[in-house]
Amino acid sequence: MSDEHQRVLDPTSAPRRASEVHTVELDGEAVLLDERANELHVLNHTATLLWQLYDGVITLDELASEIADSIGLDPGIARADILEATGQMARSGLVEQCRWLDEFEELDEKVDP
Amino acid sequence: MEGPARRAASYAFRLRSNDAALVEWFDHLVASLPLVTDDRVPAEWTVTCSDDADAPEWTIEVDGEEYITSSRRDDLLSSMLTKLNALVVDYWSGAVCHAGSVARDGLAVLLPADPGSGKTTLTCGLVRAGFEYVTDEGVAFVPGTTRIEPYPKPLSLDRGSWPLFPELEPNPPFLTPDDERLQWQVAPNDIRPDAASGPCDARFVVFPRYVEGADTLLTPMSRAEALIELAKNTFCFNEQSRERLDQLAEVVRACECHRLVVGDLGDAVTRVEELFADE
Repeated sequence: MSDEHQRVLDPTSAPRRASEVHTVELDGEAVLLDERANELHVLNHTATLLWQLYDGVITLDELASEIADSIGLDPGIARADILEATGQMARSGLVEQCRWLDEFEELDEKVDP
Repeated sequence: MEGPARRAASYAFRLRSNDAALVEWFDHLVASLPLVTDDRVPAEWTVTCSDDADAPEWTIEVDGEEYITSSRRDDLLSSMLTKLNALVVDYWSGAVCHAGSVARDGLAVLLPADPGSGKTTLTCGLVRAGFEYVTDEGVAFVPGTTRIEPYPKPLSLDRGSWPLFPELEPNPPFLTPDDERLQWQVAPNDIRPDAASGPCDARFVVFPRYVEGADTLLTPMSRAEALIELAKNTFCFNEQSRERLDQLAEVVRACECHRLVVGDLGDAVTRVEELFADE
């Protein structure tokens, strides 16, 4: 496993959908076509919701707070889930503008000053 | 001898040959393909049989370009049908899915699957049970719609399916012993008269998979999953991937989608009939 697979995203990243990715939505699930490689991906309902919110402006922390508030989820759990899901999409090249934390950087230090 | 000009989806063609028996049998097989009635110029398929009576060879040319030479007529027929499939895909402007399909009352069920999954066997069983035959190989969608242009080619039945359809054993005038044949080419009208469907609309997508000895089981699947699978079973998907994906998404939106494990042909036919019961 490469380092990238072990690292986590910087929660202050503001991801955006890659411009080469074409989206089709069916019953709340997104099917993504990465036109660079003609690869298809399917997102579940939760990941599809995230996908719709990646606008290159809102940060992952802000997304986590927003989603936690809206569905009454523990903010820490929401944040961890969002970082993991977004990390998978970033590794697949589906989202851009993501920054990975350095190997020894403490995630907690990025969040609560 | 010359056969009539026929249309396979949007591809028009006509067969000429110095082998009259071959032309007659080929036209029997493709009789469900409509005759060309407009002013399009059909491609010329020419099959020439060599003069060597002891070891004859047949060579086919398509519009003057040599395609293949064979020492057996039934092999040649299989090659001709393979070529026809490829040309149907090349000439059709919309998406063409690798799938069998049958219809009832203008509504079609698609049966997309990899080779060897049993899609032709299931298609044949459904036609025998009274469904109209759309195709056993290429479902051609009219661009921008869920409409299907039928391609009622001969059904290519593999050896493993022959015991299920003993009544369909072909009897061409140049029969080769069974132990040398790989496929039966079956004319749709030999399954039952007027078997071919007209244009129809996609209503169900069912992904069949033959599993020897398994219980036959129909299970629903999400449209997103179905779209991915349908895209994988679409000819030349990568050449126009975005347009194809959008078209297939429209198809899937109009359909119920299922997986079908086929352990028994009769049970599988019943499961598909049950899908249509509420229509």
